[in-house]
Amino acid sequence: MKRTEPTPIIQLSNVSLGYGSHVVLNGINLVIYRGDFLGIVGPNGSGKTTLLKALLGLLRPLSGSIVMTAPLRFGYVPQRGTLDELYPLTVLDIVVMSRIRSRGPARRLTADDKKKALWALDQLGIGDLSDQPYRLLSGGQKQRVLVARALAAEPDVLVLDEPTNGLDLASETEIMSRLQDLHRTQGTTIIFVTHLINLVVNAANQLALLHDGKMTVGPVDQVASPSSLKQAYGLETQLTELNGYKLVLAKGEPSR
Amino acid sequence: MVFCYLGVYVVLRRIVFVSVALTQVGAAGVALGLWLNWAPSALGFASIFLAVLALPLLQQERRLHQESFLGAVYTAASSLALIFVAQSPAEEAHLHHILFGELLTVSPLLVAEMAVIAVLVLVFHLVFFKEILLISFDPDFASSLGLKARTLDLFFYLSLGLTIAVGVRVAGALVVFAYLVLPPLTALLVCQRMVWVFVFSIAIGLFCSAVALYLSFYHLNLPSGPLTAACCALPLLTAALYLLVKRSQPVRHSS
Repeated sequence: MKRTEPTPIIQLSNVSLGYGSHVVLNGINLVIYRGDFLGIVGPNGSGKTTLLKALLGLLRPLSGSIVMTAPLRFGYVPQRGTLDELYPLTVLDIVVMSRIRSRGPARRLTADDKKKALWALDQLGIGDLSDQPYRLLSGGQKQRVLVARALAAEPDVLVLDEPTNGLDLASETEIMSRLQDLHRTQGTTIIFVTHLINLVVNAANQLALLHDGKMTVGPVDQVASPSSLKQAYGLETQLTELNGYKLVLAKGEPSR
Repeated sequence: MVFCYLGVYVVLRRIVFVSVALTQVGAAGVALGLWLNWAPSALGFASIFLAVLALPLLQQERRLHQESFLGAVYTAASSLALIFVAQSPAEEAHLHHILFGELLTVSPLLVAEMAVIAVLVLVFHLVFFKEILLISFDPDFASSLGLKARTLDLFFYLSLGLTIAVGVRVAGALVVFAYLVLPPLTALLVCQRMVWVFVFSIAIGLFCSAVALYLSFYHLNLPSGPLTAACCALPLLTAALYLLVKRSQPVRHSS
């Protein structure tokens, strides 16, 4: 999608993030524009989820500032495993949860809210599962339900935390394809956290690489360069193309 | 009724041990009040209120598991309750009442107190029903929508604490804990929809209480508190056995 006049919607200036006295990320500067597809990658424990929580307003920065240029509606897709399947909820029960904010306390959700939830399920191709118990679905179906829930919130920004973790190739491809469609056709701003760099190098226009408490951010070709990845993973890599698709290949073993 | 409603959250949020600890903290507060002969319910609630405020601090501590802290709180609160009761003038009667309850001899004033608290708590939960369900199921998602998840969570625990504090005086720690856990567990085993879990849990609680009180008063010379707890356990046992038998039967494949 071509952007003629990029409009910044979230701006992080010299931000430090952490828990108590433990600093996870330091000196983070980042501008997210409307319509961006930002991939956030990095080794395990590099602070990807911490950064995401700060963007969502779930974690206050230890220092620095996070500025939203306008009130933003987020559609958050958490890691699938964080949800408790003890709750006897149907797919529709879960997706319609995203409409709560628009109704307020003491007000029941309306037919319009259910319609919006069903629309979101249709967008993800799982409209026929609306009455099914969530806990009985496959991993791929559950993940699509969570994306549908985020979509039903009519978000300005879709924020996804490792949405394809533990999914088979077909489910992973399906999710990525739906997200790219949303980004392309509706201009939805997407922030996508993953530890699998190959998942986002073709979809993202901006890549943030986290390592050792720091962040490198920029266009994909620049951030996924062998020198940057060597610093982050201690690994020789090569950014190549196969049938028009970018691919990061690892060569040898990590040097640390 | 209110215990069986709140108990659904106690089981779903996996805070059964929190409720046990809070029940004992409440019992200790009530026992202190009985010893001092000054506002037992208020002291019960005050002690639970302080415990609820301390909960988030315990949850942030990563070096030790939360269960260990709750075990420590339970032990300390139980010992304090026994010590306070031992100092109380009517030692034996109070001890028995706090631990096991005696529903048939509750004063009308205490019943009225319980009714007011129950109505307040139920109104709060009805007004914020969908919000409390969401912060229980997925607090981060709730916060990402702009809900004040932490504030609602605090009020949830306060509503639980307030109910427990008065409930301990009315029915005793054992019965309160039985209501909080047994009917909700049965309902969760049997029902497939959230709303029916709440309805069924309340129905089981009311039915078992009625049966236990009837038996205790008319037929059996047994204390009503433990009998109520035992009656609440029966549907759970039945449901568990039914599911066990159902699962052990071989699956028939159509040819």
